Formats: sequence, C-alpha cells, structure tokens
Amino acid sequence: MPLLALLSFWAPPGASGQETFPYNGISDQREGWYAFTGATIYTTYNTKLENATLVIRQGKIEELGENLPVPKGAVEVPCKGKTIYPSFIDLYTEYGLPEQKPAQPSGPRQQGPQMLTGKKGAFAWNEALKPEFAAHDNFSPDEKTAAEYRKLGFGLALTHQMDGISRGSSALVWLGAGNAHELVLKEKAAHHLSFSKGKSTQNYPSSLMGSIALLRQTYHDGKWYAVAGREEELNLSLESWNGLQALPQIFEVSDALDLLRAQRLGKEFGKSYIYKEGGKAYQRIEEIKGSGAAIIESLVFPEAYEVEDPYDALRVDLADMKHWELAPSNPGRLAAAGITLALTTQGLKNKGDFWTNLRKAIQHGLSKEDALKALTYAPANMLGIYDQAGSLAKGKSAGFLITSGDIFEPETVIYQNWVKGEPYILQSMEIPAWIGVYNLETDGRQWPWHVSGKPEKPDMKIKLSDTTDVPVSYKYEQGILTLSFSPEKDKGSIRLSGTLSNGVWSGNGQLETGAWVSWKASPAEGTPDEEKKRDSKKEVPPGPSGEITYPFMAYGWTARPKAESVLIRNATVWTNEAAGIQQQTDVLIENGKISQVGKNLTLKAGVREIDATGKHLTAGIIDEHSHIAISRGVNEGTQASSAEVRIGDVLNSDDINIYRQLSGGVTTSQLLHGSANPIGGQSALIKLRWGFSPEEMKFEGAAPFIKFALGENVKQSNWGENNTVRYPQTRMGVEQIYEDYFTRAREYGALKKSGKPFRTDLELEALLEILEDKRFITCHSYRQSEINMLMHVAERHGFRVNTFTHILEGYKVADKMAAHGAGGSSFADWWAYKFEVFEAIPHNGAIMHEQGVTVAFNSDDAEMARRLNQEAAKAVKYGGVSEEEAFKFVTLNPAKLLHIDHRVGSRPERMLIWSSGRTTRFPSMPKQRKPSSTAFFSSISNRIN
Amino acid sequence: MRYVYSVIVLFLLQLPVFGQLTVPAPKQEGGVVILHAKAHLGNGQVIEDAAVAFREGAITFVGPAADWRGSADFRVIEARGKHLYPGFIAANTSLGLNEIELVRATRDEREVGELNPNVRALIAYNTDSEVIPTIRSNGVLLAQIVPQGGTVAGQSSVVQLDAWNWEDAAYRTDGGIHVYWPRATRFGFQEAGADNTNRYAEELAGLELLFREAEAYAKTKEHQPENLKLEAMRGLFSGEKTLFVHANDAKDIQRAVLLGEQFGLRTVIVGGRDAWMIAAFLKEKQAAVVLQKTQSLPGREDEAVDQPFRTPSQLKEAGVLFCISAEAFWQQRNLPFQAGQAAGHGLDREAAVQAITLDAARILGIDQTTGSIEKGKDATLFLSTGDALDMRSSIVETAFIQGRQIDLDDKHKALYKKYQAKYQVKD
Repeated sequence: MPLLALLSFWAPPGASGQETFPYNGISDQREGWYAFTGATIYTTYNTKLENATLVIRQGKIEELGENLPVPKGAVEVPCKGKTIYPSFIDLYTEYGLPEQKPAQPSGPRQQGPQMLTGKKGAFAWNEALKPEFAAHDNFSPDEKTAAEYRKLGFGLALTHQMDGISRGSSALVWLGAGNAHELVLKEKAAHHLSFSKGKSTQNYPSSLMGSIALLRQTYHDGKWYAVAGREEELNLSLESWNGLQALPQIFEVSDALDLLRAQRLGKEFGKSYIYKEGGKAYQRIEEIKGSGAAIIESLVFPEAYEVEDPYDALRVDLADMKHWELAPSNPGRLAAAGITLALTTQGLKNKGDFWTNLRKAIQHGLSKEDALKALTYAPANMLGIYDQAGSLAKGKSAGFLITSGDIFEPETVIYQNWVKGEPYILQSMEIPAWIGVYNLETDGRQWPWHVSGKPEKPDMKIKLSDTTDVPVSYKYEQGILTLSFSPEKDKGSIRLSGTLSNGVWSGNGQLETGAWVSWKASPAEGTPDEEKKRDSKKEVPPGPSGEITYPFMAYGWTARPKAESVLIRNATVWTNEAAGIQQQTDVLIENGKISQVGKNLTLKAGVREIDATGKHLTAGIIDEHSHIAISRGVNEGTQASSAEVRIGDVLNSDDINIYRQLSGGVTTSQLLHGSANPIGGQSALIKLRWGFSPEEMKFEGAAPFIKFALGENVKQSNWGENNTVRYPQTRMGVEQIYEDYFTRAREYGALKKSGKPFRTDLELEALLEILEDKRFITCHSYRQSEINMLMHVAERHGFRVNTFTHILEGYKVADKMAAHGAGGSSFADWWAYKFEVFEAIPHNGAIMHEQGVTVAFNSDDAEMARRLNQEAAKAVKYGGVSEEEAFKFVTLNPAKLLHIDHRVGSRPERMLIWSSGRTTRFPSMPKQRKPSSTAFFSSISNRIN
Repeated sequence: MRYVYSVIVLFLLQLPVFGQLTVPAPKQEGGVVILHAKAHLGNGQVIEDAAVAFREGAITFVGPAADWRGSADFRVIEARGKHLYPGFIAANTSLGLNEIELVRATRDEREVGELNPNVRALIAYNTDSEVIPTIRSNGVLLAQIVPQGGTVAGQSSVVQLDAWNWEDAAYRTDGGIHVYWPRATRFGFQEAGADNTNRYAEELAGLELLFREAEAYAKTKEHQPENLKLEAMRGLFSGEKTLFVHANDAKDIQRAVLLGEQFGLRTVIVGGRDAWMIAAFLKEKQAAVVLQKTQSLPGREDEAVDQPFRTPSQLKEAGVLFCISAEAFWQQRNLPFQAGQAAGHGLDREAAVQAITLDAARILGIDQTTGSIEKGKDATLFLSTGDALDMRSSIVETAFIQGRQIDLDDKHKALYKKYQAKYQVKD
C-alpha cells in the first residue's frame, strides 16, 4: 500500500494530544497545521466562500474565511482555482466489521424445526434479535475498503452489522488509516432494525408479519424488563435493547410499502425511524411525505432489460419497465417532496458506480444542492453530529475534499481527501500545461501524440494515421510521467517514463521487445483531436410518459377515483332484501350510499346517469376467505399459535389480483392467515380500492377476526418427514392446544386486572379478546369430529365460533352448527385434494343452508374469486337452492358472517352492474364496479391488447 | 337389464342409506329412442325437436322427431324440454391415476426419470376410483388419461367411463406420447428477460437428438439390444401415435410445432396458454391445441384480465382446431363450465359444445366412432334438464355409453341422501 507507506512517513498517527497506546521509537507528534488558500469553499451544502482560506490544526478547523492571512508556522497549500467541500458521510455500511455468521456454525443439517435461539449466553429467545451487538466492539479498520470510500469523497462511515431484525448499534468511524480507538468518532451512534431475520436459523419468524409481530412484542418486552422483568429472568438482549432506544433508529426496508409498514409500527411506540429504502420510495411518495420521514437511499438502478425479442419481452412486466425508467428519478423526487434524504453507496455492485449513478440522479431531477446536502448535512444531522461534521466551520473536524471544480461535473477530479486533519492524496494537484500535440520519437519511429480535454484529466492517444489511433494509458506523479501504448495489436506495448523540461518530454523506456530505448516528445503544430462528446450515452430524463401510476403497475391510475353521484336506470335489481328481485328499477347513489330505489326516479343536476336496460344490478361480492394482497408470507406456521401476527400489517396494495377480482365483481375481501397452525394470525378486511394505500384499503370499523385451523394442516400431516416434532401431531393434541391457550388467556386477563406489573403478551391479548367477545374466529375445518370439538371448547370457555371456513363436512353437523350459532363459509364443489376432504360433497352448502346455518361460498383462490357468482350458482345445481338465495351466499351471507351486513351485502353500498342476462350465468363479467360509488373498474379499461 | 338394475337398487335400499357402488352396465339390448329433446349434435348443429335412436350401442337415427317412424323395438324416452348432448370428452386428465392429491399412495400419474416414452397410463387407470362417477354425473363420459412428469412422460389412452377394468375401459390404447416442453424461463430478479442459458439449449438439443434416434430406430425391427424407450416411440413415425406437447409460452409452442413438422409427426399442443398470440401460425401448420382451463388467471400481470376467457373464441375465429380441457382429475366435473365460460366470452354456444365433444374427439383421434350425435357413431350421449354448460341447469338425468344406460349415482349423491335421512328431509 504505497499511500499508507507514504502517510506513515509524512504524518505519523496520533498527530495530537495524549494517548494510551505505547509508541515504538521516538515520538513524532506534529500539529498538522495547514492553511489552504485561494479556494472556493463550500462551508455548508448551500453556502460558499470565494477566494477563501481554511486553516486546520490538530485535526480541527481553526479558521475559515475570505482573505485570511496564512498563520506563521502553518504549511500553506495554495488552492487557487480549486474547490473545497466538506467530506461525505455514508450512513449505511458494514465497514470494518466481521462477516456475519449464524449462531450455530454449520454442522450436519438439523432435522426438524429449530424452535429457540442457538446462541450461547443469556440472550433473547429469538436469534434474529441482536441488540447486544455493538459495532465498536468489533470494529477493525480495513485500509483497502477505506481507500475505496475516500476515493469517492467519503470521510466518515456509519458501520453496523447488517444481520437480523434488531441488529444492534452502529459506530460512526473515520475512513482514515490508524487504529480502531482513534477512528471511532461515535460509538452507539444508532440502533439498526429490519424486517429480515438474516442469518438466524431459527424458524420463527418465517413471514413478514412474523417479523413485525416479533418487533412489536420486543418493544413491550423491553418496557416490562425495565420494570419487573429482571426479577423473572436475565435477558442481556432486552437490557441492550433498552439501552438503544434513545438513539437514532435506522430501519432498513425494501420498498415504499415496507416503509409504510415500519412507519405504522413506529407510531405505536412513539418512534420515528430513519429509513434505509431500496429505491422505490417514489412509488408512494404522498404517504411517505406526510410522515416527515428521513430516508437513506442507495443509488442502485436496474439495468435495462433485454426486450429485443417481442415474445421474450413479455416476461418483463410494465412495473419492471416503469421502475427501470423512473428509478434514477427517485432521489430527486424525494428531495423535491421535502423528504430528508441521505445517500449511500450501499447496494452498488461496484462502488465506482456511485458517481455515475449520482450524476444520473442529478440528470433525472436531483439538484446539486440537494445532492450535497444528502451527502453532508443530512447524514450528520440524522446522527446528531452536525456540531462535528457535515459542514466546514471553526471548531469542527477537519474532514474535507479538495477538487478541481464543481464536484458533480464528470470532468472534475478529487485531488485530496482530508480525514480528521490528515491528508489522503488521490491525485497530484500539480498539473502540467500538457494539452497539445507532440511529436513522439523513439527507436527511429515517430507518431503524433495528442493530449486533449481538461488538464486534470486529459485524454491521450497516438495517431497512427489520419483515421486510426490507439489509446495511451498514463500516470503522472510528482513530475514523472509514464506512458503505455501498443502501436500494433497483439504485439505488446511500448512503455515510457520521462519528465518535462522546457516544454519537451524525454526519458527512457522499453519497446515491445523489451529493449531499452530513449525517447522524446516535442511540441508540434496543430490542436489535439477532441474526444467525441458522449452525447449518445447521455440519459434522457423522463418525459411525460414518466408518470407514476397507482399502484405502480399495469392498470394503475393517474387520477384518483372519486365518489360520484349516479343514477342507474332501468336495471333488474337484486335487493337481497324482502323486496327480492325488482325489474326495471332505478337506483340513485349519493355520497357513497344508496339514497333511493324505485321506478322513474328524478335525475338531479350533477348526477351521472347510467342506462342499465337489460342489465342486472347487485350488491358487490364479498369473499369471506381470501389470501390476495398479502406480502411475503400468508402463514407464520412456525409455532402452534401465532395469534400475535396480523395480516393488517402486511397488506400489499400492489397485487394485480385486486384488479382481477374487481373484474369479477368482488368488492370486499377478508384476508386470512393460512392454516398451518391451530391458532393462526389476525385477519384483515379490505375493500378492493385499487390503487389506494394499504391503510386506505382497510374496511373502516370492521370487527376484528382471527384465523384458527384444524386437521391435517395443523398436525403437519403433509409436511414431510422432517416435521414430526411440533406439537400437535394429532387431532387429540389440537384440542389440548386450545384448552391450554384459552386457560392461559383467562389467567392473563386476571393478572392484567390485578394491578400487578405484567408483560403485555400480544398472543394472549388476541385470545383474551376472543374470550371477551371482542374478536371472532374463522376456523379452517373439514371433519365433523373436530368441528364438534371446537364448538365444545368454545362453549366451555363461554364464547361462540363465528365461522367455520371450508367446513366441507358441515353437512354432517349442520344441526349442531345452527344450534351453536356458527356460520359456514365453504367451497361449492372442491374435494379429493387430501384425505380429510374425501367425504366432501357439493350439496354441503345447500344442506347447511336448509338447517339454518348462514352459508357463504368463498374462493381461497385468486382465480376462483373472479367468478364467485358461478360458484354460488352451483348451489342451485347441487341441492336446489333458489337463485336469489344462492346469490346471497357470496353477498349478504358473508356480510353477516363478517358483521358488516348493516353496511354492505344488500341495498348495495358497493354494487355491480352485470353485462349479461342473468347474474349467475357463466359468461357474466361485471361491466362496472362501484365500491362506495367510486368506480374502480370498468370493462373498457381492462384491455391492453 | 332393467331387472338387474332394480335388483341393485333394491339391494342398496336395504342399507340404512343409499349406496354408492356403481355397477357397470351390461351391453345394450333392444333399441332406445330419445324423443323431443333439443339435440346438440356436437358438430355445431342443433335439432330443436329431435329424435335420436340407437341399438347395439350405435346410433341408428338422428333427425327431427317428426321424421321418426316408431318401432316397438325401441324403448321411448320422452325428453321434451330437455337437452341432449354427445358425451363430453375430458382431454388431458389424471382421472383414475390420482385418488387423493395429498395421499401419495393414491397417486400414479408421475414416474421418475426424464425420458419415459414406454410408460403406459392405461394400466394404472383405476376403474373403481370414487371420482369417476362424480365426473359422469356432469356428462363427461370419455377421458384421455395422461401421465405427467419429466420431459417425455409416457403414453396416454382414451377410456370410456363405465368399465370393470382398464381392458374394457380402453377406447383408444396408447394413442399419445406426451412431451413436457422444457421451460425457457428461469425465475430470478433482474433476469426476467429471455433465458438463453445452456441448460435450456441442452434440453432442446437432447430432445431433438432423441427424436432423430427414435426416427432412425423405427426404420428397422432388428435392434440389438432392443431399446424399450425408442421402441415405444415407433408409432409416432408411422402415424399411429400422436405427439402431445405440453407447452404454454408462444415461442415454446412454435418450437414444438416445428419439431413435429421436422419429423413429420401428428402434433398436438397441450396447455397452449399463448396460442392466441400465434393463432395464424397454428392454423398454417395445422397444429391442434388442447387448451388449458378457460377459468385460468392471465399468464402475465399485464395481460387483459379476461384473456383466458377469450382465447377459445380467438382460436375459433382463426380456424385453429382446439378443444377445452379442465386439467387434473376431480376438477373434470367442471369441464362443461370451462366450455360455458368460453361461450360467455365470444365463442358460439354450439362451438363451445363442440370444443368438449367432436373437436376433442378429432384431436384424440376417436372422431370416427364418437364425439358427435351422428348415425353410425357410438350411442355415447346424455340428457340434461337444461343447458349443460350452465351450472344451474346442468342436471344430468340419463346417460348412455355405447348404448349402455349407466348408473348415475355417485359418492356425493349417496352422502347427500344419507344426511337428508339424518335431517329427515323428504326427497
């Protein structure tokens, strides 16, 4: 490392003050007293001084101003024509930290699940929680990496271990050479979090909602530990966790929706996070903006997709193409929206792309001022160290860059990067006046040698003829120039070394053959050939097509749908009420509600009229059992109970199935946890408000539900031979799980009431809500024995099973269900997909209906959900239910099961107009859907082909 | 025959509930004439007030009821207001090879290994599967039993759905060889473009080489050693067997058709999700398509939401020979509604019937004897109270396979009756 060698000679470590480390040899402490004169100095991202002087001493800025005298005793560095910037701060690095390893080093692959942490010591139960990890404990400077950062202009890096959900604390370190203890500016600079469990080999959490639940519970655990927990257990992780709470909290998220999720979580606990986002924040900028968020963005932009072949191009979605187009505009859009922005090199395959991509971002709308702010002021401020770094001012650390000019211009070079008052030379500031044409002679040969462009970064080439030339690679250091070029291809290169004297370069070198020769280059006539401008390579900033759609994919809208007043004329109206099916009837919708149903209604001003002659008008379809619009995991099936997880935490508003199902008439869906465990997660009820944010999709004021499950799935019958450990493995055990959890939930409730300190247990909270009739169960069920069992459990514990879903043997116990008061939400005709459904019959719905059970048909399937009308029609075929009643299986009845029948399901608040004859006839595709009288789908807009 | 039938019924009635063991019907004795039904012939034609007569398993008369000259030999089935259809044909199904999806012991559709042209689905076809009667109850009376897995999965056979064992079920034995086309798409972020990795190219080259060797092998009988796999492919080159290629991507479909053309094979595409994009090519090459379920999700996020609903009508318009399938096994009872879905999206109603009758028969190579209600063909047909492609009105009352009136009871109807008894519901 020549630079390091040079440094230790020039400016020995420990340039100032006292220190604990012994020094081998004669001490050589120097003041580091320099005066940089005549420079343009950016003191902050938005103020600059001209012809100014910067004086530094002992690693700090001593003076700064225009026309200051050079102090006696200081080394003067003339910087006329140069520009000085505060050095950059990268907040997202793992600089100088060891590679992460799982708690249990790899051995023979473990059989079966890992239920607890594999880490030794009195730490948290979950291996993904590592608040005890401290970067400064593990930091070891790495000169090679530091040099890469310095080359880009960075002087400080915040470093942390990028592993786990709570990742511990980071350290802010100087990117200089030296020992760890000298380079740490601030230990415990921030607490780092994410949704990714990283290297943890423990099963829990397996889903995004599990990660969120784990964090939520840990916030509660931290509080409990501080008050009473230590009496119960020693938990070094919670101890550390509590110690980190007052720090800046940096949360890594992958995209805009993840950011909103973290934001919701933070709100619950009074935390406002700084987000490290994956370059897609622009897709939900309005929601993010409102939160006053601060974001660290990397400059990773997707490469262009190969789309030359028209069929292959079909594999690239519009969303991918749009992201490719708009990703470079992300930093600019965030800054323009007033979001506090910092930039990082993290994520770049090659750190050298940083400047290329930063300039691309500037071309796509990021102002230079905002770019500089995002590299200096903003990161310093986020960490609360603006008093020490992030700008140049008296008393601050001497961390700055000397450049040849405007740092954001491509031809600008960074000459020097001063870190904590120590110089790192990137390129010589002594530039010869070498632009011109020379006659280069050696070994009896002669060529014109062209040196063109900017003096600090010239292009060089040898002209072989008028039309052909070869590039010359060169290096210029301390007055010595080396050149290398190959006049003939594949014949080796000529390497020359020489110096400049009186305008003539001369010296010695080696030919292709290795023979030593002397050479000389004298100025010749003419002007050097300019390099062709790389106009063709210039990115074209996004034009009018660069619109953001909601959601950011095919069929997204640019103008937000609005509720309107509509008069629908002359439809066949399925009221789902005593009035039955009414012919040639008008329906008036005002303010999102049905205000009138009748014949020949008057058309008021401002009301849109729709002629529905020959068409049918019905309530919107309600899918009681759906798994669409859920991000990264429908099951947290790693434990017998996951009552703490919430589907509502992980809504995915960018699921194309929302749009597809709107096209099939669905306006409301209950999104359920999967059936991997007896006690699943909490459900979410959404309106299919396509393009709205996840929070806006939630059904306002819906009753809370939770998913339970019975049978083969929960006893892991079909999970393979590695899954025979988790309790329960039989239906016998399933009952006992319920008994146990409800018993504990009751005790928990008593503890809460007792006034004693208690640990908020989110799992038992959910179960307690069931006992208190504040939360309702949708239970996946097949066989009559277990259906019966759960009703008995519920009756013993004083509550009611709200809904059995699937319930394919409901027909065997329909009388008991009716007596208990449970509803049944079933498939029309599914069977034979596993052993426990081998007695499933398509007449199930009809029998339950006849026995007085409230019956719904659900989809559980993104394809089927587009034609639930047809599934309902199967109840006419199998069991002879009337068409009117059958259609209630997918409208009014699910509304009853979800406790929303006073709002939807009849006299429809959200409604459909069907294009074809009869509602249940197969071909029908709703022509227009109007949830809350806002049109989210019309059949005209659903074609792109 | 009716006596036998009643005895069975009586026997079953002695059980506390209705039974579920269906007994294959004996050969047709005497003649049957179905009068006054609306007959959907399967070839696109309809006779509003029809007479269809058959004896010894074959259709002897098709025409307006007014033209029927009665005969005492013919038992009359009065069917005014009802609909008569040829038996629906389920192409590309694992019916009888798969009883319960998640119970491995009940599955027989997938052999190990990449190249299994010698494997025969027929001999694993379980005539006693509980699923089969539930399929017949919706009018599906013939099925192509197809093996899965690997690149060359094996041979399919067409069976009729009322049999004691696979020998008498067999309708066309080992008529198809099934290739599952290698997939070009490799999934991975930022690599959504075409995958031209060596693996795909190697797989294609390997497939072509197999066909070259099989073609050469088929030219003589004298081989030492005899190769069972190449032996099994012999029929492809003589035209006895059809090459069924399972492919969905537009380019894969085209490659498959070109491969078939190169070796002069009768080629049928199965799946054919993108067939609508290359309809003109398929028409030109006279390649037929066993279409995936109409009720499928669009293949791509950006595709029109109703594309799969419209694909049949687009192929019809382009003149491509296709039939509609329902895939898998128990799902075959919804085959009629897969066709109905297409009828709702631009396909002529009788063309929708044709897509699960005559055109399926053509593609499976059995149209000389079945697939439509025409004189001389098998009397494989059924009566429905209403439109059989509409799930509300598809109540199959009476069905015949080769003139034999089959028992339309099934496990589900039996359980329905059993629990009606529990709740004392009067039938």
